[in-house]
Amino acid sequence: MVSLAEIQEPPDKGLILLAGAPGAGKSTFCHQVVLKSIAADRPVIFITSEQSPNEVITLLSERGMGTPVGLNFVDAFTETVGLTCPQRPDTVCANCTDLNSLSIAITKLQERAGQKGTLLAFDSLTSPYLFSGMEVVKFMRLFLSRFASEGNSVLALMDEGCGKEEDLGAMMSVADGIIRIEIKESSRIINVVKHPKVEPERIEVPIKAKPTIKSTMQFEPSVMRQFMKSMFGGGEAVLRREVGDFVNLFWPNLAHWSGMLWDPKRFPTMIYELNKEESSFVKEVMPFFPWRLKLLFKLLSSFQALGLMPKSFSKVKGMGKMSKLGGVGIRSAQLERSGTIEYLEDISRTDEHYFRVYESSDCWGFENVGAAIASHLPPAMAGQLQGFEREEREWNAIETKCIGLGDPYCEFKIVPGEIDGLKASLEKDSSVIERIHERLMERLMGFLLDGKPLVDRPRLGSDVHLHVVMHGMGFPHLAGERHRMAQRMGGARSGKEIGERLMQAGIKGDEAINRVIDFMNYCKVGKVTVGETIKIKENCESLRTKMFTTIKEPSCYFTTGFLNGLFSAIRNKHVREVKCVAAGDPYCEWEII
Amino acid sequence: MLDDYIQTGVPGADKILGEKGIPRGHSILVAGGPGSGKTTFAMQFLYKGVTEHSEPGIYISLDEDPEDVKKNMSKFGWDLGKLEQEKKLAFINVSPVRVTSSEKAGLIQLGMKEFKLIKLLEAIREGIDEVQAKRVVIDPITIFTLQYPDEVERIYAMRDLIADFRKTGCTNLLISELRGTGLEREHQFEEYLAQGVILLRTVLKDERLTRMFQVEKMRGLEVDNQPRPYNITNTGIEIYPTLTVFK
Repeated sequence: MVSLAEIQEPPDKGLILLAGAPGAGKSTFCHQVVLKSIAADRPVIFITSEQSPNEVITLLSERGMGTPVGLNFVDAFTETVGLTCPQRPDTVCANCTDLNSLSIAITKLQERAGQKGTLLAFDSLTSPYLFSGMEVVKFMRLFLSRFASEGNSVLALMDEGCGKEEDLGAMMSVADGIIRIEIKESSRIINVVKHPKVEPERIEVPIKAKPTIKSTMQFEPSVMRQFMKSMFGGGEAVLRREVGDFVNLFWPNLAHWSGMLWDPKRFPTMIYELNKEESSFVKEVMPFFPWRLKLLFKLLSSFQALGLMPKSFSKVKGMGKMSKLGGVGIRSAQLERSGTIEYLEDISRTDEHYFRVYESSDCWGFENVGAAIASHLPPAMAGQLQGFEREEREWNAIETKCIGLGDPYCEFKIVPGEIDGLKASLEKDSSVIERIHERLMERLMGFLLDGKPLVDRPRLGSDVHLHVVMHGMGFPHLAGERHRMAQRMGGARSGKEIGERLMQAGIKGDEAINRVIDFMNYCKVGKVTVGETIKIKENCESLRTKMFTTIKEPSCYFTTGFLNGLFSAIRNKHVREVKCVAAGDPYCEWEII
Repeated sequence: MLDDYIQTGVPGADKILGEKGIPRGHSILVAGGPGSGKTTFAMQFLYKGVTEHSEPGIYISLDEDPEDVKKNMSKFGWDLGKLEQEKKLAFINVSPVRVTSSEKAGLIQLGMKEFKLIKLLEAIREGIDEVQAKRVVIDPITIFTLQYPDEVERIYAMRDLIADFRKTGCTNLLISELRGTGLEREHQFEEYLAQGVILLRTVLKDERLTRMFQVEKMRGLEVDNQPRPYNITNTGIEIYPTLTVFK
């Protein structure tokens, strides 16, 4: 019987591939291996492509690292996402888009250390794979394997499901050892497929309860009060006095599907969970409601106490009453223009409710893309039910009809407890994502070249409230680095593609930049101006961070990625966010470098 | 035996050159695209020649003002002016562009070919005598060959130049523009005449430049012909002779 500790003892030499779906726990496993090596006084080269070395050090410190001597980094994150790599004595910078820069950086660190027996931890190969495809297999064979055969050991992480199955197969055939991690129910299963030191083995480790965002959520009271006034007031601009509190729906759609483009496996479930949890904070945000609404809720809960209103939403009758009053998010959906919701009493049953949504902001314009694609209203309503119910049961929602499937409207089923097949329904095929991305690009080019409208909703119009933008983008500062990466890198891909398409259409240089900036202003992303720097007043993305957290750092992840991609395609330049409303600055600003 | 070869002074390059260096007295063509570091490579060859191997050198500029070159190279920490004062390094400006009067500036003067070749050879000899040079760089040779629109004349002029070098016993780098930066390219006639060819290639992929150092030919030496990655760092050019180039 082999223990987990033995597997985490890196072999003296050899290349081990650690494969698993996003979120399976590869990085955690990798950190444990690194800590063991540090404890054994073994030199470690840590290649980070998913986060900065600083963040890795924080994580390792939380696990009790102390002050390590032989830990060096190849920072393959900072430059890849378009930021300037800081000078640190223990770090050499590289770029995931260029495998040569990785091999050079590793060689330099190894020469500097001047000794064999290094552990090379590579978290992860996914980013270089996304840029270079099968060339990564060549890199593994010609560089990593050779490095390993010179008396070092290599632990390389790779996401399953982020590329072609046969590419992963090729990577596995190059490796001396293969460990696969997967999550089943409440266990993490570590499967040693082959290993130079231990026999094939399957180890099951129970997982602790998943952490929630509740603990990290902190409302900024004054902004929250303004937000409520903006949502439930008379449509006057409260949060953004200059550009107004509504944004063209195209922008959150673009942000959402850019994130999906980068991380199709994990992004949708992250968004679902975040949107659900954020919406369940009904009692928490109650103090910030305008007095009229506060009174209404007081009234409702006293009615609930008196038995005049249902305490739970099990029964169709109770749900019907609540729906007629516009509760459980029906009224707010109308106000924020995310859709017109109708409760379907005829087909609903106890603890199984159906709602129909007309002109859903998630799905409008994506007719017949081959999947149900709503990401905001179903989890938001499930969250609200949990928040409104006295006993706070957990609810879940799944789409049963969708514009994306060719239906004229969307419908979803909402039940307390788990729903089978929910995860599968949230994850989208790459063909669906590509199709949606293509539609977005076509609509955008139609706007940029011929002035065609971006969004054409007959009754609710083209704009949605800032709240919808927040749900479309998610809450990356709460979700962690992975989500931020998806927003930043997805944004970069979209920005770059728009730049390239404009250049193909013969629109270049400042003209191309100006058209895209005009588009952003048209969408009311904020008030965007470009000179020596790029400035955005009242950027919708920064308000989100300011409202929900006490984070005081530049955090316009999607906007930064988008501008970065755009400027790299058109001017071969990068941008860096130097000021942000979330950090307390009066506006957001990007340096062009 | 070691004296039969001269070390380039570029980290990693001599390992590729069969662990030896460039055969003494040979004329080597160094070809590269714009921004590939041709001048840096040549200057490093001269600078390290003086500072590490006590071999004086001359730099013959046919294009850029030597003062600009000196200034540019100071970012690598190379004080070329000092070596010039110490008479270990000579800079000779025979730029056909810059010797014209101001209204003709920017034009290459054609005609008077013999004079040009003779003038160049004289300048080289004078320079060699002045500092007792062992290393010579002509940057770029392209300008010189442009003086001969006729290909046959061009080949003769080039052959004369290389033969003359041979007599001096100096080892020379002839810098040349590489036409076509990708992997596919036309061979230039200078390549057939030179005793060795070093390529500094750049390939653009996703806005990122991949740099490849490749010894295409080195007469009389077993060399590694594979392209190897290199970088221009803050201490000059660095080649990684054990690494494979990835696309």
